[in-house]
Amino acid sequence: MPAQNSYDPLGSSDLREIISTCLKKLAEKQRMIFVMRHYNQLKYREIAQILDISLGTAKSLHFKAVQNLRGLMAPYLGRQL
Amino acid sequence: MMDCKKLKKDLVAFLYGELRENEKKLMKAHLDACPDCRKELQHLKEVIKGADSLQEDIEKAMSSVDWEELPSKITEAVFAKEAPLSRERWLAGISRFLFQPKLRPVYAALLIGVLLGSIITFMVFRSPLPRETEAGEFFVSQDFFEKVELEMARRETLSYLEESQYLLLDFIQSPSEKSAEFWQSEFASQKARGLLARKKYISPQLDKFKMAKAKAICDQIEYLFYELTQISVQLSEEEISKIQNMIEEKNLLLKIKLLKKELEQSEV
Repeated sequence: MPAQNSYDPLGSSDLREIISTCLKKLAEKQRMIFVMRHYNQLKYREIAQILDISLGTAKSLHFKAVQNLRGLMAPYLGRQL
Repeated sequence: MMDCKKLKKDLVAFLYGELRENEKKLMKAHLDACPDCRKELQHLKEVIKGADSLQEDIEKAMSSVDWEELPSKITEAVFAKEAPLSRERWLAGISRFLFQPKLRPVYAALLIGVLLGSIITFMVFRSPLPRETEAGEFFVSQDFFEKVELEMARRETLSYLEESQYLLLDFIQSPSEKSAEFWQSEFASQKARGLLARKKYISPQLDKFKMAKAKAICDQIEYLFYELTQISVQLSEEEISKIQNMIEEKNLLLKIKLLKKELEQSEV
């Protein structure tokens, strides 16, 4: 997964704050799935098994989480994402 | 472009390497031909890279958690906030009650900020990992969940023993002629039935953690309550007196007391 911190249009602490704020605004399940996939690097298959949901739902919720994060981050960054 | 709407939904999965080979090929071919989707992909990449900025904070937060201490802290919080714990919820599994809002102060105390709190909530909430998953740096191990379960079983058994002890004390201390009346009273019969129900949920845990001594004593208590709640109406004073003597002869109250002490010291 992308793990390089090349993207840093603001200060890194500002960006951390933005991400943190936006993650908090996500729906509980979307946030959980985002954390599981992004930070814990679990596969959709594993997430589906753990949360007792279908693979499609895991994938769809992750997609929605990223899309919503994008929408939430845009105003902070002052540009469209 | 016709495929855009359908393929856009797979862009995130594509970025995370979650597409099958054939899907990946289709996506790559589409991206080569579609500037809109390439732009969309770039935006999503930025979001994902932005999220990486929290990785270091998460690592720090995770390394600051005392996983050895956490099970007892969690159990402590559960029992302090809601005692006795609902049997149904307890049966429903450790993961479900850990998700309850009442535990948030515990997580909040352990982690830096609300975000990291949510991450740890997930860590604790999640079920054991599938076998094929390798335990990574941020995974809560199976051992951790077992420790929480063991701690819950220990606390639950202690609570069961304590309540049983009080009820049995009331019974053996009451005069024979009043005992039948005692068991027919709403307080005693409800209490005994409640304890019988609790025992059903404790038993599998005691078996799981091989707490044989605790199981044996809890079984004796269960049997006794069962007998008393089922047949107390028909018991003569003499029979009741015999039961009272049996409790004393078998040193059941002493056994309960000793077992409680062992459980308090986590020696079972």
